[in-house]
Amino acid sequence: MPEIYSKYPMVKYLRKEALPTALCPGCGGGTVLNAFANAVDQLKLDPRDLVVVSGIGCSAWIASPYFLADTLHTTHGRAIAFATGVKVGLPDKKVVVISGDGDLASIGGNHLLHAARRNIDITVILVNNFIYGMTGGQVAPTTPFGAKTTTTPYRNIEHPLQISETIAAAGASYVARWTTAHVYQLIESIKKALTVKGFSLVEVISQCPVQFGRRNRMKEPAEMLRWFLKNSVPLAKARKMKPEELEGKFVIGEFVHRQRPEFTEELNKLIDEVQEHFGLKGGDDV
Amino acid sequence: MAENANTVVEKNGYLVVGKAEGIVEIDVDTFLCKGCGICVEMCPRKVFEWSKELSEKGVHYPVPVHAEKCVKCKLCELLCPDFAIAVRW
Amino acid sequence: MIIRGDEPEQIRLLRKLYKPGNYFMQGNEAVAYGALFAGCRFYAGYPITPSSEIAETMARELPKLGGYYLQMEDEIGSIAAMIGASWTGFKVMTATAGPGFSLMQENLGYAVMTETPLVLVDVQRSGPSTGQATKGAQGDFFQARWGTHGDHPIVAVSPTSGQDAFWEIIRAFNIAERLRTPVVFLFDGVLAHTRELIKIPYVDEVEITYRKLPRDEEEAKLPFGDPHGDGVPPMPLFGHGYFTHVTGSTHKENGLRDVYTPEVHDRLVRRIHRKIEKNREVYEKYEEHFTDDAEILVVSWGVTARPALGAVLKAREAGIKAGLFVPKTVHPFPGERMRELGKRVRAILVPEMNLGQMILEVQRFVNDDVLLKGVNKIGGVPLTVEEILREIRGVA
Repeated sequence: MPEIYSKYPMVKYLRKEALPTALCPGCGGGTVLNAFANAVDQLKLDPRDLVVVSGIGCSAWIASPYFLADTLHTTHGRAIAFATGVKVGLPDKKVVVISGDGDLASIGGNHLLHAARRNIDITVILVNNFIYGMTGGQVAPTTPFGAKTTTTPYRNIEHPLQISETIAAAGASYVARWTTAHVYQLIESIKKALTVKGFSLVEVISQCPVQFGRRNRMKEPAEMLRWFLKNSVPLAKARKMKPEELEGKFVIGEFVHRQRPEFTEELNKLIDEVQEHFGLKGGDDV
Repeated sequence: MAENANTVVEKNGYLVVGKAEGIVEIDVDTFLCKGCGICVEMCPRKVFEWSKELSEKGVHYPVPVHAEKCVKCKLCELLCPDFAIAVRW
Repeated sequence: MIIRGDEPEQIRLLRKLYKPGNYFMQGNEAVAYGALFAGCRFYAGYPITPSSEIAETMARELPKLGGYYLQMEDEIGSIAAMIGASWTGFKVMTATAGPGFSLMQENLGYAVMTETPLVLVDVQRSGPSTGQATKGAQGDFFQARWGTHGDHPIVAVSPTSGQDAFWEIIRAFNIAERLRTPVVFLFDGVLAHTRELIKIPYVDEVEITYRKLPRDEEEAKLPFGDPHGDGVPPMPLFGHGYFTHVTGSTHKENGLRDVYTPEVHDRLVRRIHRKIEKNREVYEKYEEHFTDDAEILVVSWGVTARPALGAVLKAREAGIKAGLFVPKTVHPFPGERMRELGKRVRAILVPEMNLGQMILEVQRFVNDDVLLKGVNKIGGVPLTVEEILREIRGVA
């Protein structure tokens, strides 16, 4: 087990035997891990009350195995479905999904949509680096129009999916989008997402300098961070802009924050009603 | 911030310590640091400079030579993907 | 609040809800009630003919027992939710048919690799593809064995009637829990929808097992090791502060991924195989009729075992020395017994509602000098006593 010299207090939330992380130098995923640890710390959450679920991809490696909690590393795209089973089985624990845009919104799009519709009380931190990073940099449903990737070597002819807007419409209780450059707002947003009862999504625009940045003239992580800062538009302002003006921009902010009936609560309420109806409660009549 | 404050930088094994007496201490763990440069580039006060020599990992690492200029915004600490930086006071 | 199924409150509810006695119900319902008696309190599924009645029965009964029914958006989500819930301590089940089973294969492999107990009911129907959706078949024999990729063992059981299904599903759960493995329950569209007399027993007549839990912190640190030598590691469930790490990637005994060291992969995959191979007494089961002096052996499984028995009885009446061998656990195949029987007979017939799948397993264990013939029928109508008897006469 390596000795960790860092004096950063958040290190206590990490699985030390797995460090240093396998993430590339400058990967935004590391910043998300940092923000998540800060959020857990500021909320005074005990990691024993957390279960973290992830899928396949670089972003799925953020919490698994690096975050010290019960961690479930699943098959590609299915993290949210696994998390649904975990949450129903352990309704008192906080179930968090930390995974990538390809994993959760491409192959796993169906599960993301229905978890939002069900409004199940899980927190999804969707790390959007708009590329399939781990497999070498192929185009993703979130890749900007015109960008170069290994499978769009000329230019991308598709337009990216607006994940936050879509999931807000599907019924989520809390949806926000930030970038890794907006790290303070990100921490506050994750705290809120963990606290809200119902389905919460925090979409984090994150830099992948090695697969995306390098092929699109931004090979330094800091260059990508500056690009995020320059092209971020707060939601209030974006609502007044025209679609053409928003092309290539990141709309950041909190999209939705509302109360809706939550799935595990409704499920347990139903069980109660059924047992009441059939006279199954109590234990005096064996 | 005091104008005559001086930053003393020391390296003990893997840990780089930049101390500006009465202001702040900035530590960098070169075992975790991968030399990505986010802290060097994003610090609003240009506290860090690249090291002259390579770390045991084979990368240049950030040295907090101007810790006396630090305003404790903690962007370096929070942005660091590798938990390598600690800003303490 | 994990429900194992054998808590006093659960026993009280089972006694109150399901009085022992004779009932008239379809095979699917027998499977569902059997699962409830086995302690299953979490079902995640997706409707597909001819399995939907299992889901419907579970949806109706589980809330009464405090259990959870989830209808997921697809089959893949179903098995995923099941695995997640299994790691919180529930006994879990889903039911599907051929096309849904195909969709579940990836996560079934995940369950094998992470050693997650679960029961997957496949109500076989005519395939390939959409086929004859409402008609029974036995075409998934090898999908159950090899549907998912890579070197993996699997345990699969197949009942021969609705009543048998009630007991076999309980046995399937016990195997899954005892060996920390997924178990495939090969049912079919004929038995699923046939209504017959099903006897529901007293709750006390049913014996159920729960998975091995860690006895202390030290055991909890090795969720994928072999501390007791039987190949079955204790399962440190989520929510107990063990900080368990579960991954489908090749992992060390402590659960952390290591894909770089060849020995780690070798050790892990071989131990998972050894866990199944060396624990035969946990799952091996077969039925035999008239095999002591049989010259012609009929080997059958699932729904076809019934007309096969009828044919063998009629053959005996006619003086033909026929016998019947019915593997109840079809994977791993009871090869040793098959080999023994194969030495004593001169002809073996394998009736199946497919174009010849279990016969390939039989072939592995018998010599070439034995006449081996399949009796194959597809199209959705089960084999009849007459059809099998005709074949027996043909080789007599």
